[in-house]
Amino acid sequence: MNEDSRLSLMSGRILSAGLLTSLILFVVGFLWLAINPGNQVGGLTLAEVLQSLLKGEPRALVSLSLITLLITPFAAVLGAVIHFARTRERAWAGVSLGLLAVLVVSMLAGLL
Amino acid sequence: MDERAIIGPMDWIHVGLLVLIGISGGVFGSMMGVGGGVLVIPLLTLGMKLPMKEAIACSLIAVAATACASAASYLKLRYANVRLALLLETTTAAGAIVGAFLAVAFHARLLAGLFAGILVYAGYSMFRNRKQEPGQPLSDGVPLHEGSPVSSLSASYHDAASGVPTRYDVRSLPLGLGASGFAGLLSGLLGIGGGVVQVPVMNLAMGVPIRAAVATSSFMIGITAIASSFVYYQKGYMDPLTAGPVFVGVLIGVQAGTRAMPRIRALYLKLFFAAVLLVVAVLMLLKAMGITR
Repeated sequence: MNEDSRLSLMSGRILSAGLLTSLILFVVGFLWLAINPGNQVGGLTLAEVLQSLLKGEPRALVSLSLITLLITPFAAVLGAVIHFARTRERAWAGVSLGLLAVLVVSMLAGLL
Repeated sequence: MDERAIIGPMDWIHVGLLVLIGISGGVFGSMMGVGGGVLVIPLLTLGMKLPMKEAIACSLIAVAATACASAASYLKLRYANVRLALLLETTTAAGAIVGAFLAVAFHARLLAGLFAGILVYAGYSMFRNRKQEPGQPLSDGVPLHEGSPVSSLSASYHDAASGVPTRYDVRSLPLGLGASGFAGLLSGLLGIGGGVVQVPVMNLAMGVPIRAAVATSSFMIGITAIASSFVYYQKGYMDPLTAGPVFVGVLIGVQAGTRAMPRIRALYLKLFFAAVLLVVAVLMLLKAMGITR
């Protein structure tokens, strides 16, 4: 297997793992909400998710599943950075690191 | 923050309809390499009477789920070109940031009109070149994904529809980078996914076969969606009980879409994509004329 095949497989596995984690969190949180009619639903901010998780609220799991889904492509880019660093492809490590930096800036700009 | 009690019988019907919307978005998005927002947003606003911002937020979840699930499948099949996606995405993501900041200064209706013109041209070009598909069959005896590629962006894959291993070299990279930046700019300015720009540019200008262009675009749109998704999430527009069922539906739909796409002949994929471009062009024209938002 050549390096491109390894990169493709690794990226695919990261995306699949992120999706699966997100799906499990959603299904567990959703069913927990459904069998406990007293619980409240509604979106939580990033800070509220952590507080809600510590309180053991099911809606935190549902919100966390969406956050996990949204950061999964970011994790795939991070995986590419690590792959290129390991294979010493400096130019490609630089490209993917540059993309990662742009994504971090855009996420921060969006959250501010 | 919206607080309401869960979950009555009518809510289950509501959940079922959201799953169906997700399925349709997943099938469509994964086969075309687009986010599916063009389908999901009207279904949510017109069909489910969701406010526009909630519908866009929900659509972003659909885009992320479509992108992750279809890219995961296409990466296993070696259709998606990771290096090309990462390289093009640098200008797309930068363009999206610039677009988001310029959105307040630009006249969105004028831009939508210009964009409609570009889409009509791209749709026509794809229709005109429907029988000319980039890529060459790998010669017998040369193992797939081995050998000496002309550049690190060259790639190969097994075309399931024709049964022939295919390789291609990427050309016109500066044009591709510029067009990707433009796609990102439009994404930030008009709130559309970049797929409708990326796929025709890769296929018509950069010599990437339509199947690889769709798969590579699938990988890219998830990355492009990250920034705006967090904005909508943090502002509370992303209702988990609306977005969640759509997410589950998308995962079901993508399974069907990614199984179908490799079996469809490139000619039909191109014709279907040309039709999609024309539909999006009409939607953009309606936006330009102030008929829709």
